[in-house]
Amino acid sequence: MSYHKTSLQIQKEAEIINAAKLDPKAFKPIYEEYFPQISAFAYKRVEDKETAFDLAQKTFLKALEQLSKYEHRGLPIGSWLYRIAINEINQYFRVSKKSRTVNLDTAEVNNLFADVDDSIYDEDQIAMLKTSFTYLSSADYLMIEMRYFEERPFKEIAEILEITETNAKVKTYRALDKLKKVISKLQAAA
Amino acid sequence: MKFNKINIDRAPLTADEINSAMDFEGLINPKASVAAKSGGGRIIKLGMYTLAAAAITLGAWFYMTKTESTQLADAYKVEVSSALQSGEDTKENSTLTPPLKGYEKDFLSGTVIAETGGELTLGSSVVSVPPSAFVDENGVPITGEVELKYREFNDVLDIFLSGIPMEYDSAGVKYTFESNGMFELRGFQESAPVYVASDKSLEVKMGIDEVKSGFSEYVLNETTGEWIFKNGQNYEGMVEEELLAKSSAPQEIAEEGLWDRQELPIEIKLEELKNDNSEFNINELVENEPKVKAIKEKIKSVVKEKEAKQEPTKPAKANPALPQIQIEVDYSDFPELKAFKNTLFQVAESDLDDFNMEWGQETWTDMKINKSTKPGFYRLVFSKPGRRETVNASPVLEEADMATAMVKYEELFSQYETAVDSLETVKKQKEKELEAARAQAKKDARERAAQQAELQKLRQQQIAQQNEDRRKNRVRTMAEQDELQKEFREKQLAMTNDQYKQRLKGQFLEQDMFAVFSVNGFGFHNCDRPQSCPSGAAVLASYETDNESFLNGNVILVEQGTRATFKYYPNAQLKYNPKKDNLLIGISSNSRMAVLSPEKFKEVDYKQRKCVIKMKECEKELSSKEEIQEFIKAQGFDI
Repeated sequence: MSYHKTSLQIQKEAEIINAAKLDPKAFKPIYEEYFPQISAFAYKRVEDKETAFDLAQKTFLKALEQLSKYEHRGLPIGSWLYRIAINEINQYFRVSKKSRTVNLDTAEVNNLFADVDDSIYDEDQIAMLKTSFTYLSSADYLMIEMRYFEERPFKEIAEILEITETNAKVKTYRALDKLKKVISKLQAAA
Repeated sequence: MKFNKINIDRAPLTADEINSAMDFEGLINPKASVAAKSGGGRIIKLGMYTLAAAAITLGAWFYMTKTESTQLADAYKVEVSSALQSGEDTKENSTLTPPLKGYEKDFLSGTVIAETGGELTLGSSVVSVPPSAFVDENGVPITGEVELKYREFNDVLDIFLSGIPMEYDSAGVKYTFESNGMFELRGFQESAPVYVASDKSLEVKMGIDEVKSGFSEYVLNETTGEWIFKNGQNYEGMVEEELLAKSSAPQEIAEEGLWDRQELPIEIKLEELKNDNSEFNINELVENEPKVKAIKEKIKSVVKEKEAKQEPTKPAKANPALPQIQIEVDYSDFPELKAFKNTLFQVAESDLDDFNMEWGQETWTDMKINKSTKPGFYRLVFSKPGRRETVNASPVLEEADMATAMVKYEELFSQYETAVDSLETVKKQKEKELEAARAQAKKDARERAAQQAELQKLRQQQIAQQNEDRRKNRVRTMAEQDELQKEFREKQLAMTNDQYKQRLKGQFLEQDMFAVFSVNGFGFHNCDRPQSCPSGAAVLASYETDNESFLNGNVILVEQGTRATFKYYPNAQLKYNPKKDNLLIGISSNSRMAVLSPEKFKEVDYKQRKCVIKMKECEKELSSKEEIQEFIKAQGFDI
């Protein structure tokens, strides 16, 4: 799900944004490139496809409305779009009062458990994971989600959250540490 | 956090699904519309029009109201320049809300000849005017003398007293600007404001103390009070980082204090044994075996094929108590509805609160039908720019159509059952094959892992032997010694260079450095960086002085070393960094300055949920910025 870009591609994006500030139709290449990514990003966090697509569309609507304020700082526009998408998703959960859905694949769970615990992934641990996530704050969960379930490099997490790369690492390891503690307590209690 | 459930290995969105959900035209096309009318009784007769992604057809009552592309584009255009061209005096500007009256900063002024342009030095800044740069309010070029008025807001106090808004909204996230130089520039001819010609721009080189990275140029829209991003900040003059990069320690300093090379370790580190024969790795190897992978793929494709079989939907009779929507369905996209004829979509009882009969009277640009996650239901999506309504509905028939539909349904259901049973048999057969293939692969992988472990053990024994030999024979060749000495010396020189640069750091600040602004409209220009509120401590705070229980309006937080004014309101969260020297400034109801000194700030117990902060009110009215500075300095804060 990474949006890595070369500096040439980033420059090209900046030109598209400048043109779109004058004529929104010029935004189309950005929409076509990022809509699938943002939809997939939303679908990781919600239960059904329709809601994911709704949230993706709202993200782009918001982006177009705010385009005049967008500042090109040498980063891919994806980082800004993901930030808007995170706000939209949080807003959706606040307004709808629905609980969050977590969508993982086996490899991602293995990936997480490799850092949390040496033991091997099995069905019981999914239940443990579900319980342990409830002990995390939404900010901590977001770090785990982006690093382990979306396998984003720290640089990209930093860009999306507008923090430094070092800070992204620190926050991720702190979140992981919390998760480890919760899991070991749950294991001890089991 | 609340979690509903965890789904494992859920199928991702397909390219087809994403493509049908993409709707760029709907995003940018705010004026096109579809009209719909409501019909009699409880059935809404919706307009019909073919829309590719929806795979349904709606017929009638479709018309566009306004489609001119220029009008559509206008909805998103940003009128930057018009808001910035004004040359009117800022003292009447409602965007500025100075906290105290009588502290307006004076303008510096100078004149240029409009036809020839020129260069003016105003304070620490240089304003360059190209020839024929000014026009009057009608766009007619101006000739003769033009007076330029200029003032800078150099520090936190200037910013605070000016009342210039310093908040910045980026995609709904609020920031406060940290400024590295802000100025206001106006032009007049015989007291009448003049404007910058649309094809010209003035250059302002503003003297600054320090070049900081991450700053950009912004201009204030004086109508809305919003700052508008222009571009990354340009600087002139060598920046500290560049000077440092070019500096290296002179030879005598570099060689000063070189010390003798220490004896380097000669042992080769023993490699750690890899757990290649662990159960986890064995399982991973098994799952990657080509034969196992191939069978898994086959099972996946059978399951996919089975899931793709559409179970025909059993006809259901319409419930007269619920609203229904009549839609002509394209059965090639919804084969499970083949048993239906004259389909009505009946609004789900659970969605009645979300549904409004008046939707039928409204104008929609698009309508789609998707399968709902709610079994047996479809999700109807009505949309138009800025609005999207959805409702779950199930297909139903009227009494007269039921008998024919049931006959057709029985036939379709029988075909469906036969197909599904046959695929289930294939799946079971493949699962047996998979079990056998896994067992064989596991056996092979264990044998291979055992061989590898044996080899690794041998390698470790060899290394241990080599280390033993080295310890016995510590005499190195001359070439080895020279090489190691050279490497060691290079490392030392690099370290000395770093230390030298550290020593130099901060010595470049007195060099002439300028922030360069390209000004194509008079008004406020700023070299800024959006900052989030300070973090580290947060407390629900209200404020008081000896004379009153709370301060009017807001207070301002200033951090030592940061040129930003963070605004906080009473009975709201006060966020700050407890590791820094902080100052709070407020204005009492009798227009006197009140502050909380850094020392008193440290006494705030932010571990409590809420607190009342007592600020010191100045005993007299202060008549100048210098007096304010003195008062604040006396509280232990160098502003």
